Amino acid sequence: MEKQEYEIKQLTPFVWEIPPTGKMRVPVRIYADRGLLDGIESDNAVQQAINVTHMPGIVRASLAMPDAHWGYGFPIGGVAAFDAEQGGVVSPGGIGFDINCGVRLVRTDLTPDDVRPRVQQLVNALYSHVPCGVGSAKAIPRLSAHELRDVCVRGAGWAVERGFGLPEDLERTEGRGALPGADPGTLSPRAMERGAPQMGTLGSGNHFMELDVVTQVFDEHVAETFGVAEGQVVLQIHCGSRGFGHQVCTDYLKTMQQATRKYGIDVPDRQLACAPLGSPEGERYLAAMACAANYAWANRQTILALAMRAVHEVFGADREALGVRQVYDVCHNIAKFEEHQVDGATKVLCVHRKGATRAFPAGHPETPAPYADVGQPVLIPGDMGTASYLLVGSPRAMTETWGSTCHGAGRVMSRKAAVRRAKGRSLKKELAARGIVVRYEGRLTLAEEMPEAYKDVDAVVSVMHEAGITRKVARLEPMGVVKG
Amino acid sequence: MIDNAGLRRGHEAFEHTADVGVHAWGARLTELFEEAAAGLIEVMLDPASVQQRESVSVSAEGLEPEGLLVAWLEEVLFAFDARGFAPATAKVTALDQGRVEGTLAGEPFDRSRHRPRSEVKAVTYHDLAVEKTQRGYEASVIFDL
Repeated sequence: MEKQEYEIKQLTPFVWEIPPTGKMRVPVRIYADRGLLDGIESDNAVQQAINVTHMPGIVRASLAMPDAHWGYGFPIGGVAAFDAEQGGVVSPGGIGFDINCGVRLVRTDLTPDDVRPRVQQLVNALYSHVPCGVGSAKAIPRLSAHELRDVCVRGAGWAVERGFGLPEDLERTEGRGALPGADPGTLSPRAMERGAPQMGTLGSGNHFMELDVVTQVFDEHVAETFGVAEGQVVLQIHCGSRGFGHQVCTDYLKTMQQATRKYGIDVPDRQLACAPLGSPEGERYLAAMACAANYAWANRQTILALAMRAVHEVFGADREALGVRQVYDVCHNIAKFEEHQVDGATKVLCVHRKGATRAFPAGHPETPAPYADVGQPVLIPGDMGTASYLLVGSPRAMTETWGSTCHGAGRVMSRKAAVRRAKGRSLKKELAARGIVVRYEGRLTLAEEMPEAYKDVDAVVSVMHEAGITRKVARLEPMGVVKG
Repeated sequence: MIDNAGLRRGHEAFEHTADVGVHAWGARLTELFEEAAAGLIEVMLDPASVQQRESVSVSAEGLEPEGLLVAWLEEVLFAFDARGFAPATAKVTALDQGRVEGTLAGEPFDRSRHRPRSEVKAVTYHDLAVEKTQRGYEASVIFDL
């Protein structure tokens, strides 16, 4: 990849800008402190953020979050919005292979005293009820083609109708767990084949289920509105659209490569392959992407229900008796059509978030009614050794980042380096010494996910807090982790 | 794994922050393709844990050497992730302009015996170039984990 020289200047304590030069249509804006900026600069992510500025119809800036690192085409931790009226494009690389990788958080009435004596049992039960790991399949009976098409259109609603979870969960899911515009007719036979056996499975890599305790509350009022309090045990589920989504992205990257040539779009990296919004190729990709996004929401809804079976097994009580209620479910990899203010006018933009989370403020129509007074919950999974966060969106997010914020900690160390670092160490014992019980598929997977392999989530979240984009609500620390 | 016959073919994995790459080479293009597939297989599982009791045919089409290589590796990934076939080895039987055919030797994936490694989401085009060098043909491919 060609690297270009760039000049970077600091706009505020936490915002840095690379002014447009040459083929850059807009500046790059990076949210970071000095330490995180060094990391972002050292790993090609800046060059990728610059490449995104070349794309037609990009509005205002190519944004990078504090947890940004290099990805395929767009950096991970990147946000970019495109205006169809200005020749704006849609690009699968701006969403990622794992379409709608995201997080779901539920609160419970359980306390650490309730959970600690049974945490190994709970983790084992979760592990047995939710297929995890490489090649995980067969959580529920294989979906027929008809059922899979239904999943594609109805998303989490499909799962609720099948008895997985409750209708109230949908209200507390981004977009009610179903992105409009899904068209199963845009899916390849390959994608259909991959989607059929994997519903209700966690997969592997950085996906996990985690029992956390709320160790710190930063904003009592917002936390209370979200149903969260210090000393509570909560459950996080982090996963995406599985092989189904990966196949959709793979299929459409090929389509987009042809489209980029057909429409004469000049991109500096073939992974930025794209098509104009409104073109047949662009429409088809968005319709397929919506199918994958909805699959992921159905998947997290199903996994929640399977996880509740595990909890029921251990505590002998159902979700209602345990005070289980969904806080929220957000996605990190998606493209959405949203209304935003651009130079005093309301415009509909196609916002690409790859490794970034929507963060809408109080009063926004998409903020769930129970949270209308405070804003949309934002879920930030850290890594299994440290902490995760619950944040809330703000008006400043709308004016500065298209209503977006970071998504997590972001890797800094390669998997091989992490495995080398782990030699002679028992990650399992180290975590246990800190009261964290882990159940995982393979020893290598565990070593790859060691805390040192990730950026400092406290620093990442603090940047967005200090910048006024999202505010900290609570800090969560792990007790039990199930990793694929 | 490096073939000791003059190092004419081989592959090795390399690191790349969140993901993994395979550098492959061979005197002939068919060997490059086989070595790249061997590298991908080793990322997905331990081939030593898989018996070669069955074989499946795969074929792929693509533009240029790069597009075809990616399509070929996607077939290997698909056989495992979508169809639950654990491959131990991959062999190219035909490689013509824009089309490759081959066979994978292995058996249905069995959690209790096989040793899976990393879940591969996709084969990417990141920094991908098939080059003609002194060794013949070389390529580096990065997989999204």
